[in-house]
Amino acid sequence: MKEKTEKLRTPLFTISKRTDFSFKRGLLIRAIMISASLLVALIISLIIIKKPVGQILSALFRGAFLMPDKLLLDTCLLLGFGIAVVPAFRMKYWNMGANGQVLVSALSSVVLMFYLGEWGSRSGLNNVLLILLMFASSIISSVIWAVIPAIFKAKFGTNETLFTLMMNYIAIALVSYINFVMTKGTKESVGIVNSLHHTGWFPTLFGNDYMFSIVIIVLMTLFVTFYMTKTKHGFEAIVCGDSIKTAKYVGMNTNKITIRTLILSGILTGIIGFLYASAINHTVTEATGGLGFTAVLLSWLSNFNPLVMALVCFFLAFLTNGTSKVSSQFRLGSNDLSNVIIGLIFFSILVSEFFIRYKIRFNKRIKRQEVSE
Amino acid sequence: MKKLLSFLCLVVVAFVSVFATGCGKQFDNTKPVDKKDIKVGLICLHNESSTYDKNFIDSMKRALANLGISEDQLEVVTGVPEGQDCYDTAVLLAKTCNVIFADSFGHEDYMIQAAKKYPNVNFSHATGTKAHTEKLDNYSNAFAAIYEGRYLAGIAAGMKLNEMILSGKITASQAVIGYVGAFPYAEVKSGYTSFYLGARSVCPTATMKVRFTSSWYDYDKEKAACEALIKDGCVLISQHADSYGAPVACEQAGVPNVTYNGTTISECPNTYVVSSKIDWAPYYEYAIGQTLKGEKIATDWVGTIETGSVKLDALGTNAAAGTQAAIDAAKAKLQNGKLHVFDTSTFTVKGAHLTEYQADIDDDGTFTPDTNVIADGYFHESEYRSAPAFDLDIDGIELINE
Repeated sequence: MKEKTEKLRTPLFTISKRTDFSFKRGLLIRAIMISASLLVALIISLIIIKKPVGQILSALFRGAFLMPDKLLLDTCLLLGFGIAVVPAFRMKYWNMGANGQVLVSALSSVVLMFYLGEWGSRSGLNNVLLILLMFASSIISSVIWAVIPAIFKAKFGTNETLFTLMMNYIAIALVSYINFVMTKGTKESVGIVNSLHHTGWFPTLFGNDYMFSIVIIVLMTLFVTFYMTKTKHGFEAIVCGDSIKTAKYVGMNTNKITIRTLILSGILTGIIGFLYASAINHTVTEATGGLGFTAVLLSWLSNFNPLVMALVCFFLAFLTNGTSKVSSQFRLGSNDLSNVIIGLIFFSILVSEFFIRYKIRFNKRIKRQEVSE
Repeated sequence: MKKLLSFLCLVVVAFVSVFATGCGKQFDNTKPVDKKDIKVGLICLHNESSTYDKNFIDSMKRALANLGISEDQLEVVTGVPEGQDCYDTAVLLAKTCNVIFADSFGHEDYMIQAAKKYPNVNFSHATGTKAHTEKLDNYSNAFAAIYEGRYLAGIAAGMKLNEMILSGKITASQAVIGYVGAFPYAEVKSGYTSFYLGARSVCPTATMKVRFTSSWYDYDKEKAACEALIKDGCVLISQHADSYGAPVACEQAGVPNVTYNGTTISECPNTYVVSSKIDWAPYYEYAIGQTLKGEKIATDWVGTIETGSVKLDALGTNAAAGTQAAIDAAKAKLQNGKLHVFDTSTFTVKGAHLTEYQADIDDDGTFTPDTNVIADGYFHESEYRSAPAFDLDIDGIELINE
């Protein structure tokens, strides 16, 4: 009698991967979730700001589109970071060090710009040489930063997530130390370098400061898409990510592939770092390259699809710029509302991704007797 | 791949077309504007939870109220880092505002860049150093002679030390002041040196120990530095950093505290002595007023006790008897020019009285000294430029972690 009522231990629910969703249905669910979160965000804004909805929305759109080049640059920078981690992520090498890689590469460019600025301003040729030198040093330093954890992973099997995270902290400390050295300990940051004669500054395109960077990042995106889908190297990285044993069985040198892929990642972040130093910021602070973590999330959510990634980045840049304008125009005293809204939207995207990709099955409590039958 | 390419092309074309059309109305800062039409922008490093930024935002609101301008004509952008974001923010504001203010030292380069791009909008940067070398008509710096306020607060500290010596709590040689500073930069050095000179003017045996936290806002570090100073024998604390870390540590340990940027009397009722602060409202009234009239804002504006920019909050119950009278006497002497805070006869550097000193006044990117600032027996602080330049290490002050 006692045995009959005893319950068999089963988990409350099990999660399994689902394949039964059509593309259209997935899209619909995403759209519904995002609209719902936008609606909640709008209601929260209305409660806090206490102004007509039209005024709030007009501030949102004005904030986003008053400086279209800024909007486009923000989109492209996010996209650039996202694209730079793609090759490693496809290999299931969790590189969290994009921030640090960009920081050291921007730092090396800024150091050259600072100490060789006077030499570079002497002639046009010197300036071109300086820019080339900065570009090379950016790439090299970023590659070094990316490859160190990769070598440790390949040779000693260290955990790359922790390793790359710690490399970020080293990069941050290095930036603040070098700033200290350049200013002889008088300031926290060296400020805009060569603001008078613009030596080492990348030329503008169509008279716009940001256009060159935007074009370069678009080209970078196209290149990575090509690399991952059309080349042997990209294919090998994906195989390594799907099953390292398969890769070894078919005779791939997985250590070599790891290091090679991370060199590519280093080159990509090196380009971004160079753009920060030479074309966008003309200086380096601890905040440079702070987009890395957001970009990791974005590229993961977009399933590494560059087109989706571009759309999501644009949406995020639009919201960041728009809500920041809402906060300033209505003098909210902080950017907290902006952060709440972006957090809400991320949350809704994460939730919908989870339910689109996985199925939850609640298990019935089964009595032992029924099992034995 | 093809889809991606065509999509990206579409986006680029869309944006280029937006550039071509352009937007935003044009102002002219040489012509008067109506009170109803003026728009003011304020760029802040942190948000209202920092005492530093809150002081700027509140001052701005008071200035607008005094001028009879509605708060709806003000835009406050918070959390703007000292980087390219500041330039972008300034440009964005320049499309709608007549005059734009920024509150943090590191914003300066970006404000200058924006000022060059928008010559018809006034840009003003508090605490900056470059306006007098950039020579732009629409870019200016401002600061206040806060070293005078610090000096007066130092007198309150000295009076407190005297009280402790008289009551037998400490001996004259134990009159050690502790100071929690952010960075060893001129702004901080000028602050603690003037404070110390004020204290020593009434308590001649006073000495001081300074600890730096390497951060403008870090509650835990400031609290820890303050506790270390108290453990080290400091019997009175002051600070130059933006959190409540040091005052709270003092309240817990029962050590008198002279604070900065606003009173802590409600948080630390038992240990609060006095607070010195900069009130930015007079400057904002002046600068917005100039913009209304269509006139140029002074390149380097220095607020003083007379303009109402340098202020002391009411004394705490903890202050020694006779403090107010001593402060008032010194204040009168400062105002009529009989007293100079950095009088070279009152301090020595490596045992010697200085007769000349080269300070790095012109911020030309070389970070090297260029101008003699000692004449007529005193260091001319905030005269060659509005921002502090006093960066001497005088005798009697011990720097602990440098």
